[in-house]
Amino acid sequence: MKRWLAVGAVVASMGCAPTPAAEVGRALFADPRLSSSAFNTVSCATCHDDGSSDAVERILAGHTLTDSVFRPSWWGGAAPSLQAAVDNCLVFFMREERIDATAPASRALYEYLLSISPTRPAPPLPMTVVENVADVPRGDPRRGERVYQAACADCHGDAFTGAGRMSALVSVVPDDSVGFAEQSGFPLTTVIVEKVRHGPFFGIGGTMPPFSVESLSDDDLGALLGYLVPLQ
Amino acid sequence: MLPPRRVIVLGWAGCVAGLGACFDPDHLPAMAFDVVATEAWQDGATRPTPAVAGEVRLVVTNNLDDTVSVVSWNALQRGGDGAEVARFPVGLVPLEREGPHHVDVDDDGRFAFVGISNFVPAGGSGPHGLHGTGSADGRVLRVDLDTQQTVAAVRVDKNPGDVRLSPNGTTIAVTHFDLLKVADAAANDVFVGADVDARIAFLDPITMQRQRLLPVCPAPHGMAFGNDGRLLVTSCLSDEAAIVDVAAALAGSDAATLVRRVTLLDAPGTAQHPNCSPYAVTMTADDSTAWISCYASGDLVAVDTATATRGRTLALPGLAVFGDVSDAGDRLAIATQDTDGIVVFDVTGPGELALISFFSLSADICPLPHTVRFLDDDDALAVVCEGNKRDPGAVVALDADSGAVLGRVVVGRFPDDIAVQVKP
Repeated sequence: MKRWLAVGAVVASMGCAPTPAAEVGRALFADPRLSSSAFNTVSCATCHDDGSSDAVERILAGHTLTDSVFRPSWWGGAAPSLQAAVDNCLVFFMREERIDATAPASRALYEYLLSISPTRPAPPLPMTVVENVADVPRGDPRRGERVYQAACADCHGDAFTGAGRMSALVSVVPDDSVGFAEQSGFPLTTVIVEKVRHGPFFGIGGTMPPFSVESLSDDDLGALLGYLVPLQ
Repeated sequence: MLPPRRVIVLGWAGCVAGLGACFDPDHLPAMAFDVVATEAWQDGATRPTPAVAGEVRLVVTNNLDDTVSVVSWNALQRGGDGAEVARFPVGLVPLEREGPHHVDVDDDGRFAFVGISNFVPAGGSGPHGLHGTGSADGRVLRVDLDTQQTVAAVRVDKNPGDVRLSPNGTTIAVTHFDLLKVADAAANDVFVGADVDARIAFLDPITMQRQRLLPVCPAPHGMAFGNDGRLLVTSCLSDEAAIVDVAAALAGSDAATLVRRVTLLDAPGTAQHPNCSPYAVTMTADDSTAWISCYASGDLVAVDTATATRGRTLALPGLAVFGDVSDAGDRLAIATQDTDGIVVFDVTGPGELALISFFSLSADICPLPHTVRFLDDDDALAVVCEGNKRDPGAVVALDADSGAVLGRVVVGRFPDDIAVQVKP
């Protein structure tokens, strides 16, 4: 709700005094049109909490952006700068080019991140990538349904049908993975684990962000498998 | 006060009526910035002060953790405390290990050229296959050492090996240690010829465009330019060396006339089963002789660059890897593995090398030394120590006369190559 109030505030101020850049940045944070791609449907807020998100408990692929500016590193050390970290999101998940550091939209986004980064310096946040995919035991399907709602439903809509998914480009879970599982000879559960842990990387493609161990535990992932691929 | 939903509706109505798309970057509202444009995107990363004129730093590629270490030579030769002034990530795909392999630095000390091998065994697997097998094309990155940002990249062939900037600064040569190509050809009963030979890529260091891709020999790895940059010599896995006419290659001459191959043994093996396993090249100061390091046999084989003939062979104490010639041109230093150390020869005698010394390196100081460079007017040596190829390795400074350890610093995992950064 706060996000939409911010949007309204930005608009209401048009035609009057210049809008604080951080306010525009706040709106950009939640707007897929930060990317110029007509195929992009996600915003920063899809994957990151900025401290103002609605109370619904969500499991997000990305770390909070609160105190993001003055960390010593990002992406678990794989991004050498805040700008490079944002570039990674734009290029790999939002179908956009690298950011133009001096463009007004870019500066506005930076000022918003700055406004929610009071801690100087802030500690780095871990991001442990599961490079080599291993099977995860299935867990409690009821817990798995809750994990799905918290981690997957915003983009994928309802499980098994895709109802309400973010766009027609987003796959129906798990049905759209069945074909690849059959083709590759791997169990469907392994295919899901790979997609969740690797996202678009390691030769997979697409724009789904990966979930690190810190974002989604193996226990939660196992529960998700129990829900999506129940034992016959 | 309007309820929030009405604020939204009014807001978006205003948007549509007034500006069409509120957050189209071309139609943003007038904004008041708190941060000037030149300071946007400043962050909390600690970055070293850029090197100052005359300062010597070492740039080291860390194969296994996708980073580059920058080492202060001054601090290293004074014990090594705090000598690693920076370690920063390199690569194009943030979560995949891409294996930064070899590196060179331009004469301005500003840009490093880093080969991305995509060869990191166990670097990723799943239903979509294995990663890190060297089956993907490599890249060469142009990295700004002042900002640590990759500013350009160019695709090269699979498994780029050595990366060397020509002495005149007009081209970067990149070998390709393409063992997969050798194996694939062998699987089809092909053991020589175009299906086995890998190419050397010549790149424009400014535009990062490919100037030429020249087939040379099977799995060329180490490489050294002559002083004027007109020729280079590379080691070929087929127990050969190849002498390449760089000037003619860049002038567009016919490939068949550009490469002279020299067999290194009386009874050479094949690329599939080499006896020498040529690995590295060290060129004498007058360009007359290229010394080829044999990783399998531990031999050092001389190649006359003018006549393209093999000269004498020396047996080293260990398996021969990368080396260097002193600036004065009087000494040749080669790192050896298995029997870990640095062997130093006098190259001033007529036709013969005279062994000056062998500096043994203990496992706690420098396991698996991989490359060595003369520094400090030839008074000292910098050595990259691979370690166990899983954990952090090290760079050590040695006194070039006595072999005494002057300093040691731990760098990233599986360090490989070293380049010297000097700002003029």
